Amino acid sequence: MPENHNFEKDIQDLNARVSAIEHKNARIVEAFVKNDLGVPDYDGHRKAHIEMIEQAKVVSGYKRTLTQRILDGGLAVAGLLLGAGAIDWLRVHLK
Amino acid sequence: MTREALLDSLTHTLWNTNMVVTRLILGIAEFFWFLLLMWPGDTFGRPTYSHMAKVMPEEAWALVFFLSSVTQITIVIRREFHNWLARYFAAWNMVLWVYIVGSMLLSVYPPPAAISAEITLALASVWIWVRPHLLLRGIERARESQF
Repeated sequence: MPENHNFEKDIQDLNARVSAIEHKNARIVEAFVKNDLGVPDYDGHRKAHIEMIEQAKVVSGYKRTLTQRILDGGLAVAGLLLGAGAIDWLRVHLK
Repeated sequence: MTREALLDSLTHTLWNTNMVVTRLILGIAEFFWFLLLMWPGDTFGRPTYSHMAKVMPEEAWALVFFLSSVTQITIVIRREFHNWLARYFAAWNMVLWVYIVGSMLLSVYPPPAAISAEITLALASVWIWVRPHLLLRGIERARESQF
């Protein structure tokens, strides 16, 4: 370390960086709800995310099942209409 | 395209796309119904409209379509799709479209090909009303599955 090194400036820089980190941390902590102990509920937040992911999986499966039913229903209706049309056509042309 | 890929694509299209343009198209179609019913001449003299003619005179139907169109386009412009007005209107709009399509199909035989777009609009109006209810049921089911 050179003799003329400015330790005062190092400490000032360090203070500024620590202050920025503290500010950032305070903002992050504010984003969490507090638990019954009055501290940020990190674990509850994690569990809530797991629940949301699980819920999204169930909803996604539900959407897929309903889509399959709609597709089956649509094909059945189209088949019925085609069948009815074919019967009508045969009735007219076989007279 | 595999069956799974087709189902994925259809699921995305049905559930994860917004229905704003569908609402706008319904609003425009209702406005055209209003315009054409108000056009001089006896539109309801044609057999296709015989069922509708029994319910109300042409001008009354035109008013119904005009009010429906204005409400639909107002909902789109205000971008309020989930308030009570939008929800009840979706139910009313579905009844209106399903009725006019059903009445035209019951009035003449064979079914008029020209109402194919109306049938599609009726299906779209049903989907606008039914989709949020089905989604809520899915979310409830997901919540129940965790307890």
